[in-house]
Amino acid sequence: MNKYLIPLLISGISLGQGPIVLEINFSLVQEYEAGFTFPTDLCGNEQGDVFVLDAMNDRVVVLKANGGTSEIKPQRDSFYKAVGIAYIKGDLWIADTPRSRLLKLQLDGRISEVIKLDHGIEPVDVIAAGAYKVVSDRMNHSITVLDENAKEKYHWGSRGEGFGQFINPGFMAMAPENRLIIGDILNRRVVSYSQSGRYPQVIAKPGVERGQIFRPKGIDLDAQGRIWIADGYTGAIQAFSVSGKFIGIATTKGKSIALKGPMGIWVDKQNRLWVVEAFASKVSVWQISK
Amino acid sequence: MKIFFKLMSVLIFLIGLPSVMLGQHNPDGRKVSLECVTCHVSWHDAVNSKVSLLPEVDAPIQLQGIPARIPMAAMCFTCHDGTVKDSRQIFSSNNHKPGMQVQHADLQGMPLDKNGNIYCGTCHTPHSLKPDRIGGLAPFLRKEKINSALCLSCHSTQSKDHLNHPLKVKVGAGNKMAKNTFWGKDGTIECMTCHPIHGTQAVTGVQGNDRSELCSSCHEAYFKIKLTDHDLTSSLKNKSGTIGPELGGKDPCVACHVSHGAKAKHMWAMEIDPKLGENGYCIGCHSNDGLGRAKVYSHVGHPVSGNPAKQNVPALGIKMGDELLCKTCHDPHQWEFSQKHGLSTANEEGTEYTSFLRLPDDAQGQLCVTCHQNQSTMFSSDHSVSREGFQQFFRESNTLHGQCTVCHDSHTDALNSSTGGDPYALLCLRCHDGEHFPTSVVHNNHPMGVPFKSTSKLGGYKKDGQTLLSCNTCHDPHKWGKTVEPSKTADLKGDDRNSFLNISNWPEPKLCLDCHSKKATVLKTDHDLSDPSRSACSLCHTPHNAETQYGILARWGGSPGESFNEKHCFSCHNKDGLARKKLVEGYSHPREFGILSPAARGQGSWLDFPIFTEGGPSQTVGHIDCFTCHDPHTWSYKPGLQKPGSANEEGNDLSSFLRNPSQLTLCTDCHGESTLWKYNYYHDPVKRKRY
Repeated sequence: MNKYLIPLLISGISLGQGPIVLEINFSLVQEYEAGFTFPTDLCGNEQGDVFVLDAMNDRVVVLKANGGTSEIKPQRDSFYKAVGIAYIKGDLWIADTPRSRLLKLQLDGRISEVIKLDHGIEPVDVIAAGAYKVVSDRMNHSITVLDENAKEKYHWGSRGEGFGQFINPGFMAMAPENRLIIGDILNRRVVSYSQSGRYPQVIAKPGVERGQIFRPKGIDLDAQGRIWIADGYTGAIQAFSVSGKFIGIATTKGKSIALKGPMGIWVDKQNRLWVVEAFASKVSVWQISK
Repeated sequence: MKIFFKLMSVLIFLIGLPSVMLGQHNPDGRKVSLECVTCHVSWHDAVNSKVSLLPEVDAPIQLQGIPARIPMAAMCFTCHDGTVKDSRQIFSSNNHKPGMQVQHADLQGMPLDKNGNIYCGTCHTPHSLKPDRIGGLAPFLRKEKINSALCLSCHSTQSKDHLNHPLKVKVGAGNKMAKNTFWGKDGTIECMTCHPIHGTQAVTGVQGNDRSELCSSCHEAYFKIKLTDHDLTSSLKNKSGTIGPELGGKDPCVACHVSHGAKAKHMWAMEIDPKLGENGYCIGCHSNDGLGRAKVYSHVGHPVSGNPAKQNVPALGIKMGDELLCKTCHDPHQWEFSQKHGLSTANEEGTEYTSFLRLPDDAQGQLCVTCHQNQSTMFSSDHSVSREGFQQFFRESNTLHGQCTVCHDSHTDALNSSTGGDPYALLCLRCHDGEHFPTSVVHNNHPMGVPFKSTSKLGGYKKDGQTLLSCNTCHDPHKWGKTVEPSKTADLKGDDRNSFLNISNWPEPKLCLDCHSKKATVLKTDHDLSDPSRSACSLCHTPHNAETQYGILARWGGSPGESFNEKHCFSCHNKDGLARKKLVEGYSHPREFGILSPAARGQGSWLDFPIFTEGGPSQTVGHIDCFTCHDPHTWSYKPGLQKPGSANEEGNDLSSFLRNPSQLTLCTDCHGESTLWKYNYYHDPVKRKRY
């Protein structure tokens, strides 16, 4: 059954997408530079504070909901060239990429937990999946799931172009029903899987047209369940449904926005999309129109 | 049911075919693999421009000025942002970052972006062989970096010998470069050894303008220059000259050396006068307008340029034939040869141990004897500065007191006292002045400062084109004796065999005769009084502290006689003297009458019949004395009779050391016809009065 279903799904997506263009108006709210040097990712909490991973400067910059900024410098330990960050239950979790570690960084700068990852994993992104944590791995082109004690529960994926395979899995997001949405960077696609790596669902397929993805980077879901995906090359921000339907592209003043090396994104409760523009070393905030 | 599914699959596949068969082709129309468009995004076929998300940039890259559809830096960053590979550090580097202006560089076929600036692809290409394969160029470089080929593609002018730091030279294992330093094959220096292309520093270990850390990693020995007068960052911090670099905040090396774009060899920072050759590097500063004008180069001393070394001198790295240069003796990088001596202040006056000398002029005269070994015999003589009293004397005199520098100054004159006049006499009399050391030469010396004719071309001091007699005419202060062992005793009393004489004066008085050759007639006569330590001249003459200036006649103690002629002669011709068999009974011509000399009378030379006063010979008027009639150097005025037939031969009117025959005397003026009688019996007190 599967051998028929997979091409069916692919073709179906193709059929479902055409040159019909849906534009979602974005308006620039604010830009932060804050001395960033190629920041990569950001995350936010319930209070509306945003945490930007400015790893080349060995710090996290806090863009506070009240408009202020501060920084969190890790005490005793450090991170350098880390890529991904997540806010999980009051703490920051940092994918300390080249050192094969996950760091639990408290907001006071104390590193309260250091998780050494096996298999030479070089974590790109980390997200929470219930009590578990999921890590994408640029070295083994795989996904590793850690249990509530941060012990490896299992990992899946390998290098390749097929489903269940990746060429550099990157940023991730959790969708309803524990679906893992994974940016498969050099396969130029975004695919959702079950937590164990099964039941692939193409969200965005390769291409350089609207509704397609060339370098999937930041991924996040808004309150409406739309999956927002940043394209690291075209600079586009596009929305897809969990079933892989292209919903629309972010535009401003009638043109699709083209950010400079967009990476991590986060959509806050006010329906604003925060995005790291790594190539411009800044963070921009966009209001998504209703 | 199965058939239905199969049919539906085929149908759906066919309907969706256009979208999955878009494919991709390169600009030549050749179909390329899907992998190609991973980067070559513009090679996507049939991109609908209305919905295209591609940046609106036409041919962003140019190859030799021709547009090329190859990716730009933004494409590289989509992977090298940490998600695939991490080159953020490189992108954030100020060195060779994308967008860097390169108009100054001589590019050789390297692609640039549309603005003519470098970008990642200028140096890198993912199409090079993988780094781990044979011939692979890590990290995906267009050319090799192991031999600097990549760097030199653009920076070819920065590899010219001597004007830039040399490449491909092997560095000693003791270097202190960082562990991750890039080395060429076999540990040689390449561009990237010092220039980390994507580092945070433009040059490894360089803070601001200060390259101390970098340079000292390999050239640690040269850093002995720090805090010396040649460390211009400290010694001339607030000074400047019309020649010389700006020194603000820079390292000690940069005053003289620049790593690239030097003005002369040795990576020289300044323009130098090519006419000055290698010494121009020193004279550039040590000139009237230069930074080192406090020590202006004025070379009238030790010869340098144009003078080839006559032998190998390993201690100074000199090979026979090498031109002597400033650097032959000086190492501009170290103030004191063994670094035992630390500078207390900048512009400290140098000593024979310091002064940037390669070797010190110590008690062994190390520096000078490397070439002048023959002069080292002095070190064990009375002229050695090691002898008691010398060190203190010269220290109090505030002069250099190395074995050689005590007398010689390489940079002012051959001698350390060239203040005008006779430098040798001035120099010698610093010690032989009758006050400081026992050997005094303060009065009645051999005439000095006079022209002379020397068979052996003895030296002297030059003045107005003439060589005038001086101490060095007779003496070589470096050699106590040429025929006997060197002196090992302080204040040894010298004689004709030693006494630092240029030419041994014993057994024959060769030194005296070198100028006074006509006096050789004394040899083998009864007046040749040479003995085992004394030559024929020395009993009667002494060149220093003589009894008389005239004739430098030796001391005669309590010898009888009224005039110095008589005293001198009677010192031997007395009953206890050497010439006791030839006592002079009658003598002493009346002195109350003045007698005109032959010259004054217009009848020849005054020497034909010299007359005397109390002070010495007179060329005009005087009295008759012993030497008026006698020439003690010549047995006979007739050349054929000059040598006596046997010792103590009895003389007659043709010999007897008579100066001239009787007819040439002046006696007839007063004595008329009795002249012959009185002349013949002058010394007979009875007969001489008969007439």
